[in-house]
Amino acid sequence: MENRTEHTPEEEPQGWGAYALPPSYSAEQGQSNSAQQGWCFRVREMLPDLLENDGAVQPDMSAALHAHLAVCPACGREFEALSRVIALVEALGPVEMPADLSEAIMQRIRLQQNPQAPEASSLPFVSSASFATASAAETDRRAEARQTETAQAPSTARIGRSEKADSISKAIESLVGRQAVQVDLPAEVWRRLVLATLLAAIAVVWLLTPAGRADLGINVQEFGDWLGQVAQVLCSIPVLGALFGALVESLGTIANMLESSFRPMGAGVVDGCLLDGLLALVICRHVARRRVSRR
Amino acid sequence: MPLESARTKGETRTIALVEQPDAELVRQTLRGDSAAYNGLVKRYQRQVYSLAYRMTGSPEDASDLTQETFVRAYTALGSFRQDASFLTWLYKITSNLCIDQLRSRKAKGALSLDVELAEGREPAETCRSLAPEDAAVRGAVQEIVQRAVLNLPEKYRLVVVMRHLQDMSVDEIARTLELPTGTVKTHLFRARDMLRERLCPVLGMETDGK
Repeated sequence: MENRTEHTPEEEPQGWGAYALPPSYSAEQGQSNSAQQGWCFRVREMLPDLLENDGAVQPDMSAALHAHLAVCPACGREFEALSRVIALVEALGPVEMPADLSEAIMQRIRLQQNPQAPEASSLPFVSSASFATASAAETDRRAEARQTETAQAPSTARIGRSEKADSISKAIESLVGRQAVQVDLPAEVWRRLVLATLLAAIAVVWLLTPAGRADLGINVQEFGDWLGQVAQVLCSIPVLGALFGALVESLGTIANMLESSFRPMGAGVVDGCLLDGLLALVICRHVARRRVSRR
Repeated sequence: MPLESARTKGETRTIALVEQPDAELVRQTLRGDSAAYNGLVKRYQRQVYSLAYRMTGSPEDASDLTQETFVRAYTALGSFRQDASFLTWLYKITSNLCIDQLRSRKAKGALSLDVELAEGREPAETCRSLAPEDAAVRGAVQEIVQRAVLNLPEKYRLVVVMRHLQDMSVDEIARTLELPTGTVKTHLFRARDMLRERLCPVLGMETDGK
């Protein structure tokens, strides 16, 4: 025991048989009280090993300890109490386990192996989204995302994250890396993604309006101001105001989710996402310019 | 249990049902046989669930932790040393997950008995005498014991559960938790001592100030 040396008894018993001497007997033999306490202390130090009964206590030592316990009421009570504690804990017995646990485990493993499992809900709008169009930049980005994933040892990198964050990441990976996706998303995230897409559609529509055409060198500040003006108009109408508030809130939530989902995947993928956004703007600008030049 | 062989001896047909060793199932899993891993899951899910349940006290958490343990084991199976014990490896993953879970719970503000004691407050459970025969049903005693175990500090709880409920030896616990045997024994000693004090209503005896 680690603190055995801190409490050296004043007198060592003469062999293990001495432990069997009752305290009263020891006192009669002229030994001091502190010596008896020291013996009891040493005996109690041995109790865990005695309780373990794992061979750490030699048979002769074990016999001596039991002999002491039989005649020393204090040590005997201690041994009895600890034995009963162990018996009570062990009496807790087996635990009732969910019947379908192994199925749930194998299901999770299948999902991890193949995120496009049949149970996943589909996101039809993703495959037709403008920002998922194939491009050379996207091909490079896909390779980069794969490299980032590999470097992060997916077996351990993904494990510490929550299931929700994981499913969001899968959705984002799919967005970035594939043209058609089937991803497993919580209903709430699904709803917010739809709202965010609608918001993006508003931006595209704005670029095609006269105001948008007048400022083809897209200015984020002005776009923000324009959104603010729209918000003011919309907020004056109760129902639309609430809807627009939800849209703006969704945008913020999406931004947070994107950041938290992308961050563990590496800066390369974050850049890839930003590139997607820029690509969408460039396409919009290109389309708008062509329309202007035709006129 | 897989059917390993069917032998015919004269007129007698003997069917031997032999469990495949863990190492063989691991090898088959690594070759892509998910049914082999299913075999390992079925073989050890009870032990893993039991450890998680006794550590967390929640069936939902235990179920989640068991799933997470097997998923992690699956994804890291390539790093498993096949001469080691698969169950010990699973226990190691489970115990780490349980500790993480409990710490996260604590960080979220769950006030445990340990905190109360650390702050010098008396635990709600007073040390009045309650002999086992006074308990209405055995379940009531088990409830008290389970609560006492759950209120142990994590490192003590872990060794008590492993030693007395998972039936692991001190050496196995030491290997699993990567602790010296002496440390495991010390943790066990302190855990039992705490339990003795907290279970005095069930034990029906006064603590003697120890």
